[in-house]
Amino acid sequence: MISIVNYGLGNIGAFANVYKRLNIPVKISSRKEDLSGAKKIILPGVGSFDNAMTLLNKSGMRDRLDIMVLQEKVPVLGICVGMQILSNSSEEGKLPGLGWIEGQVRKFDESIFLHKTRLPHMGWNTVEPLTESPLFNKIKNGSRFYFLHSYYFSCINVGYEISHTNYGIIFASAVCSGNIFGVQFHPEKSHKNGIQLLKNFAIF
Amino acid sequence: MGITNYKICSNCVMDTTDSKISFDKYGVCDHCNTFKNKILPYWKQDITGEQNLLKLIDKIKIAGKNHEFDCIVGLSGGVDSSYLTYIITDKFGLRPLVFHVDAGWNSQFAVNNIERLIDKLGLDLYTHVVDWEEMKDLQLAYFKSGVPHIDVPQDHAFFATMYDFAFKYNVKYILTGGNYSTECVRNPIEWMYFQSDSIQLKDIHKKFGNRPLNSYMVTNILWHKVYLPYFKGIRVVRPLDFILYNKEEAMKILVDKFGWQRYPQKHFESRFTKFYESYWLPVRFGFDTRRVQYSSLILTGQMTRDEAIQRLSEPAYDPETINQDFEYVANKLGISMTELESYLKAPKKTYKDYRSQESIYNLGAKIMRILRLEKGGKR
Repeated sequence: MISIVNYGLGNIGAFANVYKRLNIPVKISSRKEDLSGAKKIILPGVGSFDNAMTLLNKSGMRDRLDIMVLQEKVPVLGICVGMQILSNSSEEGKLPGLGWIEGQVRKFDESIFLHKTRLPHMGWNTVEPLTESPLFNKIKNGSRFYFLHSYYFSCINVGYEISHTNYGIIFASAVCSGNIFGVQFHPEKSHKNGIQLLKNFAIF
Repeated sequence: MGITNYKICSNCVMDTTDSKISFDKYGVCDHCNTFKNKILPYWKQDITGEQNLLKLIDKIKIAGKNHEFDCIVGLSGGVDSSYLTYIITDKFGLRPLVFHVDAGWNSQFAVNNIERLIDKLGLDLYTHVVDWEEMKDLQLAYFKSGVPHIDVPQDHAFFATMYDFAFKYNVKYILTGGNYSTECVRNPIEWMYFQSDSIQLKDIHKKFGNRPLNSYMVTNILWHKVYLPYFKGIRVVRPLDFILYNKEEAMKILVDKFGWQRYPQKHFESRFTKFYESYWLPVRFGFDTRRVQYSSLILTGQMTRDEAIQRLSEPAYDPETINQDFEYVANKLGISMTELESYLKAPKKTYKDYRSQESIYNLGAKIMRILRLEKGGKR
């Protein structure tokens, strides 16, 4: 059973639909009781860092999630802002992140772009996996995924970065530390490659 | 068409590059006369228009009561849909789901404008992403087909996806930035055939496409023009037709309030459409969509005919950047520049060379005009 954390952010339905088509059972979890029995956790997210943290802290699921992820080592996949809040903090906000993977979320430096109007990074871009992560099983190097963000995850330990993408600078489009995974792109909007990635997360 | 037969309307800038154009004894074209006789008398931009809009807004709010949102609004990042999004939320207090379809060709203007509006108005954005592999294949199929209307794959996806979403979630109102003010003269059918004709789309895909359209959304005129409105009560409305909508003023407001960015020409929010309308159509077919756009602005008092003629004397594309654009389009579609050039020179075809639902469109338009549900329209 995969739990999709419903704390008021992200298109929960899109993930549920993908798994439904793959015949993989999912449960949408809105309270901490709903999380019990979860073998995998998906942490979606859109919008701003602080808003995501506020809603997650208010959801009543935060403590249970900390225990499941940090002690019971249940695999978790943060997506977009759901990935960014895995960090310690963000230049976008004031609240501390979950701190599950050490690092800071930074804004792209627009001054290095050739044009002034390059944010947000919205659209298809290629992803280069750096390691043999199960997340990228059966996904070719340079496959396209869909992005929509203005901030990126900068890990303290570059070893946590499991794929890179180039958008003016090379940044971590996916991160992993043990059982904790995060992807900056939207697998639920990335069609074939995205479905494969969500499947990979479910079955490894 | 020989040069001796060339004629341009004495009122707007439509000319005989539109082969079906006709002129009255004053040298005024049928586009102008349709506007004067069929659109203008019914187009209320004064207080009556705004009162009607308020009534409509109330209806939309009632339909959206107890739902997460009242309506869907399509946002491309261009001026019409941006201004629409601004007024319906800020001025009229609607709670729309802002819907954006990303067909892979968003310009940086579009992306930036969408972001700024969403951020400052505190709205949620729903992005539907078209499968790029399918999109690319369908766009190539249109290039290979030889027809002028190669921008159909994008347009069709925008509307089909919105209709599908409204149907699935039972949203009763779809709001679009479509408007008479900047679009009262329409592109002639031979320039841009109906984008929603699914029979033609499927025929061209069958003949020239290489991969199945699994997730590409296809609509059908009978479904979205008859079933959705009359059986499901799902309506498409154009709020900008109810108010005094001036493009230049709208842009000023958007720039001031949101840091919105101007872009050089209508429809250039898509990099493909920019290439298509500024280069492909005029160079390969001699169809210059600026004539249609400027004529609309002339008829609605937003541009003088002299200014339009002066602007039309410049090429539709920027000669300095066209090579880069050409290369960009070829690269993105995964073909060589030589292959793209070969489509530019290939024999010209029209919508009549492929299966179509033209008769249904014509019949529908006739009925709509008799019932006075539609004014003007394509021809």
